Amino acid sequence: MDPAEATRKRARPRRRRRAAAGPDLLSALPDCLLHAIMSSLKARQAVQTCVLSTRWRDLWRSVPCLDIDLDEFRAETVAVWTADAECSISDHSIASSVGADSFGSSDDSSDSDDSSSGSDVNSSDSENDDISDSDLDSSDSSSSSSSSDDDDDSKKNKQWEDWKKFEDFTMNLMACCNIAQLDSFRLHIGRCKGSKAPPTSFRQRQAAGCLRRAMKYCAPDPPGQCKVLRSGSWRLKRLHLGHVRLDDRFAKHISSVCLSLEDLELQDCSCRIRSVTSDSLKNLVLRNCTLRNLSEIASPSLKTLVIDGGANANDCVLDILTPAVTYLHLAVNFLRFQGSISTNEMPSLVKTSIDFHDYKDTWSEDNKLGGVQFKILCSVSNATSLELSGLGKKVLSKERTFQEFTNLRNLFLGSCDLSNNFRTLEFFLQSSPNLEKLTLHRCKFPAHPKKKKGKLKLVATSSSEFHGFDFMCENLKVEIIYKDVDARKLVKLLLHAAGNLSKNNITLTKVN
Amino acid sequence: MASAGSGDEKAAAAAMITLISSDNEKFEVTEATATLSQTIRHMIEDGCTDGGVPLPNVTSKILARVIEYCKKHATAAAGEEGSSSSFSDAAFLEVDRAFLEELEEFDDAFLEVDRATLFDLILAANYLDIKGLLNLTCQKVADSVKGKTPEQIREMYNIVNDLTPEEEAEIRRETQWAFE
Repeated sequence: MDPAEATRKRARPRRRRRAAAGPDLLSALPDCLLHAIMSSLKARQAVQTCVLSTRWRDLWRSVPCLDIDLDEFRAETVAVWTADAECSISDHSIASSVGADSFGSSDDSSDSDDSSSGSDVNSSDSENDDISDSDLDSSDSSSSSSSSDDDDDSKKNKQWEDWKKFEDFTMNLMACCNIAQLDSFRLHIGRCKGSKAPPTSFRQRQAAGCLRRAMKYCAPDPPGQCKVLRSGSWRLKRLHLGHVRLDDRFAKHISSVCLSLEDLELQDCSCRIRSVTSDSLKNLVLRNCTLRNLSEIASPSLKTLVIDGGANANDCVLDILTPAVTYLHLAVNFLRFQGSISTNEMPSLVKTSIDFHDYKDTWSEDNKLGGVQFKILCSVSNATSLELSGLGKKVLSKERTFQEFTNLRNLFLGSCDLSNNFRTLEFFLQSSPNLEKLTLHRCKFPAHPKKKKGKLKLVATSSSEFHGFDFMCENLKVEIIYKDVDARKLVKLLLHAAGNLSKNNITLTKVN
Repeated sequence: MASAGSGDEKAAAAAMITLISSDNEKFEVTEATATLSQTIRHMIEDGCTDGGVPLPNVTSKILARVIEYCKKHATAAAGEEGSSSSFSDAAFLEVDRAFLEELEEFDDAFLEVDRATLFDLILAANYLDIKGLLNLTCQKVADSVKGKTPEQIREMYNIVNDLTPEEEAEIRRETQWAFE
């Protein structure tokens, strides 16, 4: 039956609605568009649309994207009346006409009326509620008997209750929806503050359990259908997990079952994973993850790789084998990645941004770290745009080192330590024949430029010994954003070192 | 490589496509603009755009808006496609950033329409298969209902609740876990 027709047929004047307020444009959309809209909602709200009207009743069951988020269950963000109104109908359906009337009138009145009528229902609920489980029930009655919602006890229980609701919701939803058939799945446990909240490790484990069961039991084809090759694979294209504990089973699932997976984002996850391999991944984001023993990321199709924050096991070298990457973002403290990160050639690199977290670190004198930094720089030498932050002054070893940045057009150095007599800067200028734009943002300059004026000139003269130095700066534009340093000396040095660099191409900006 | 690319662009710029709205108004657009619509792209590929492309599902008012969107975003798409070759220099990256911001502002302003127009745009974007426009408009609707209770959503979009109390009670029992 045509949905609009169904609406007309079933519409009843029983509930007071502003009937002629306008056409229902939303419900008139085809299923696929309603699904597109529902896919932007968090999972609980998407499910709750089932009570809107007949048209919406089962739409949620086939929504292609699920976003399960603990935040949606935090007491503050939940409209009190939804849960309560639900009880009023399911429990007191005998008095349906009365219930419906009060329901309808609250609809026409303001929001505050809604919530007050809701709490009325709540207090009557706790007396004859036979649906909610006993522990929730008892805490309900305790809070209403004490007549103070901000009671310490209820506060204590609040976060646990939110968690329980979240857990029940997740279990039920995952039993109803086949993850294997989804396009996109996001499971986010978020942060719980305070000692009364369920401990992180507990929550991580529970979330891991949900995922494990899904991985074990969800298959894309209904049983009985004839199986073609690869029919066991999930359709999932995007997977985003937050605060979930993951292990090698998960990694195996990614590489052998999620054959359509393009985006994988792990945030604050605890990963006992040795290797992430995939032939389909395009984007991989590891944000603030605790990696226990990650030694390999291998994906021939990967375009974007982001590793931001987190830590890896001390003695574990992370090999990155992603030859097709065009965008690389590394922002890790190498003290927490002491096993280091080693990257293969990435010939397609366009944009690279690396934050070494180093400059402000007292450990930056460590020569080993300098070596790590240099090795990574070498592996990204194909990039056209390079953004480096926190580069230490020990990045170059004592000996002269050579590395060509043939494609480099745009170099941004942010908060880098250039106090090694601008040797790092010199290195980049010499190695990047096609550089067009150089930006120095709040870098550390040599301490006493005045005293070393003569020496600077010496550096400049000596650098011109390297062939092509003058030529390299032909089209160069330089922007220096500085705070407490004397940038004029650097300007002089640059003008001297590169004969044909125009003063007009250098801009100076002082910031506070 | 670069010269070949610009040659293609010139050829694309020269090729004009005529779109005909449901009320018979004709719009002449470049192929680059028109092919943001997958539907029209396929028609061009099949060589059935001579004499204009009739779009019986789209009014001239909506088509004008859709074209406005496509014109703006066609430039962005051209940049994206070329980014691996001639566009990927420093100048482009900077232009890129500024342009993306501009594009975002354009999108925001573009969505300042009444609800009927918004839904017409959704349907047109769906029919013409313009992914960016469809995402943009659907997101706008999703944002408007985000965090709202079912009652509030009903009121907002004039959704008539045609469920009997018994039916509604049954649905709520089935999905009780989503309402706790």
